[in-house]
Amino acid sequence: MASKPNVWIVIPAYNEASKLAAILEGIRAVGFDQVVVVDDGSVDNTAAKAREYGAVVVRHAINRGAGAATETGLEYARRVQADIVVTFDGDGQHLFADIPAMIKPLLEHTADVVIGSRFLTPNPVPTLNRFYNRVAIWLTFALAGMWVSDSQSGMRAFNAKALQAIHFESSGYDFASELFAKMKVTKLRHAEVPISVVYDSYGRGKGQNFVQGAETVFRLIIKSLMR
Amino acid sequence: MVIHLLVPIFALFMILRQFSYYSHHERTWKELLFWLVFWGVVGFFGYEPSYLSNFSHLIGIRTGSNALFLFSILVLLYGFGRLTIIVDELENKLTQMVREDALRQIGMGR
Repeated sequence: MASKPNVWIVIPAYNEASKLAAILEGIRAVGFDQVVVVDDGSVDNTAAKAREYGAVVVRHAINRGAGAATETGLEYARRVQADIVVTFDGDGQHLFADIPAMIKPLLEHTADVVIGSRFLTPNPVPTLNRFYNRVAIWLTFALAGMWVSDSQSGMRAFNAKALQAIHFESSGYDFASELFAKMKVTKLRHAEVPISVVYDSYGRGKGQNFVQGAETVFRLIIKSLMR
Repeated sequence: MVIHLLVPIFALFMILRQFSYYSHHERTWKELLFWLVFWGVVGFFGYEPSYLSNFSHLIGIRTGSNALFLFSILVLLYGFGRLTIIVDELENKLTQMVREDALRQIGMGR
């Protein structure tokens, strides 16, 4: 790795125009100016807003899901030969101030993948989300054999080795569990870093609802059994 | 009876398919083992239905027709699972096309 690592922030975004300005300004304020926003077929002006605030925009012609958008951002990072990539939710849930702590274990070469955990520090996570996460943690353990405190966190950091080793195939939210299965197979080292999150009324309307969560679980089990 | 031959032949066909999947890296060894045991059991009970009757009584299915009904449901579930996987693979191909197109639009295509 060069003395100054090539760090990219990847933001998968679907109809997040109202949130992007503050996110992009905040990320720049903490010292990161290389941001790629993957507009996942938004019907609002997400792409225009991201460009206006200096981000590279990769735009999916149609909506493909959170996993697909994240992988597109990672693929962009591979092609610009990024040393470190941090994925960051586009709904304003994450705090920019957590980014330096996320990349620290990668810079110190103590981990290849860093998971930003909402449950290692007190956070106002709604009860239902906590329940979903508990189910997801157990499912991840059953299917991938890895135990983490937050398997569904959207804030993750990868070094170049992890970036080359992990290619997400799942288009939907099941990519979160796919990550751990691939980390296990490729023997990547991981670390968990406590992060803070903001759950406003906007953020609560994003992510998976119960039915989508059940579909994700169903898909994971079918894939595990039959693929 | 014909069913004594049909079920084991079908099971044997499915077992051969599992090896084919495994050799094409479409199955892990754990999945291979699971399906070998599954279709092995199906083939065995098809060939020796008397054991199926004993087993049926043991788990509370009283008649052979009920066992056949249950087996049919399992086959349908298998078909449903395969269709889910096929649709998923098509979705993945579509995603790859959308991704490559998106990257090409900004001059980052391969």
